[in-house]
Amino acid sequence: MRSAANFPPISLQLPESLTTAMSNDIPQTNSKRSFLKLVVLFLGGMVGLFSSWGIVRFVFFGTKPKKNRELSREAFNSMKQGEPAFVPQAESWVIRGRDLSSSLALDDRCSHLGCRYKWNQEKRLFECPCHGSEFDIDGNVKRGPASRPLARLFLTEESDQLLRISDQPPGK
Amino acid sequence: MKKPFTPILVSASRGSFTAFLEHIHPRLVPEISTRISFTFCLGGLATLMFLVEIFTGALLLLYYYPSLSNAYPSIQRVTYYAPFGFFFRNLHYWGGQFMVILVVLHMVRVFWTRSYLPPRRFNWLVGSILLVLVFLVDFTGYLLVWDERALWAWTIARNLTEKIPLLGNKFALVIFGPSDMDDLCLIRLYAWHIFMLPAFLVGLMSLHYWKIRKDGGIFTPL
Ligand code: FES
Repeated sequence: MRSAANFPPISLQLPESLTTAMSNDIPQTNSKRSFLKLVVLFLGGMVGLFSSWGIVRFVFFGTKPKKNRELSREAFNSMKQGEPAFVPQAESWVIRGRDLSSSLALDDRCSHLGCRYKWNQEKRLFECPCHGSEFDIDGNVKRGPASRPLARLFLTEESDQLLRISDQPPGK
Repeated sequence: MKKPFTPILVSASRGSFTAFLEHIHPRLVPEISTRISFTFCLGGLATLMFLVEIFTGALLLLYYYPSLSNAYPSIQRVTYYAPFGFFFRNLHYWGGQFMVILVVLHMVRVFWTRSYLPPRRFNWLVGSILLVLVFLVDFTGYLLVWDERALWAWTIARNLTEKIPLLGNKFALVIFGPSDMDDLCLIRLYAWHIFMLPAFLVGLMSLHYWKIRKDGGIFTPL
């Protein structure tokens, strides 16, 4: 059983001087204290600013506009059949076939963790430098750790001059 | 006998928020509560970790995908692609680890200083439940990653639950969802992790803090 004796009453009758000191509207005259306050405010503000910047960037991830992948007809015509060619501005590898519909483009990011892979001419394989995944010329996995094939893209006619590379098969 | 109501003069002329802050952080505190070796701030630090978990968890919620085939890729995506994703995910991970360590140390401290004796027996009980809840929330978080370790941890936990006599299967169904592994299992864990367990935690934590002061703890019942 608890009794009042366990809790010596705490007096709320504070001396006059203390009660006035406790009210907030006493100006801060202690300069060391106000300096420290300033430093803390400044540091806190910097941390706050930095973290809100990080949070905003984090939250807006994935809202970038879709990649606009294009290829000029001229560049396409200059490619060798059956030889992958890297198209940096379209962020993809293009493998020209006999005509447009038998040609193929591959997203230039490895399906494992998104590194940029390269074409190895001797082995005739795409090799990823990050963890050593290998893909054949159609983007199929030949060696792990990647488990999915490379993202396949289609070439479609945009105009006389321009081809579009997209994940939509032609005719759609 | 009820104590007579005593008006507190400090809060009279201020906003209620200031009054609340002053309640949490009074201007005058008993000398004994200012000694760090008294509590080593372990409970407070665990609370801080909990706040960190809530905050980073809310951010990770934006990208987590609770399905068997997408859970792990979505975590990889948030860790390796999203700006600062690695930071928030690691904060969440380490905050969880430290929360477990801190609550265990807190319990050891309470035991060591015999703070479980009356009048704090009830709070010791609340604290024990909180300890279990912290373990569970940590464990479900471990499962949500859904990598190989999570899969086997899930299997073991489920089998253990099913081995409880009589009601084992029912328990397993309620806690883990249907036994053939599909997305529902992960959604069930997800619900435990992000809503039900934290809700229990918040409720019991409030009780815990209220009881600390009631029992004459850290800042005494001012
Ligand atoms: S990112 Fe290509 S193998 Fe890992």
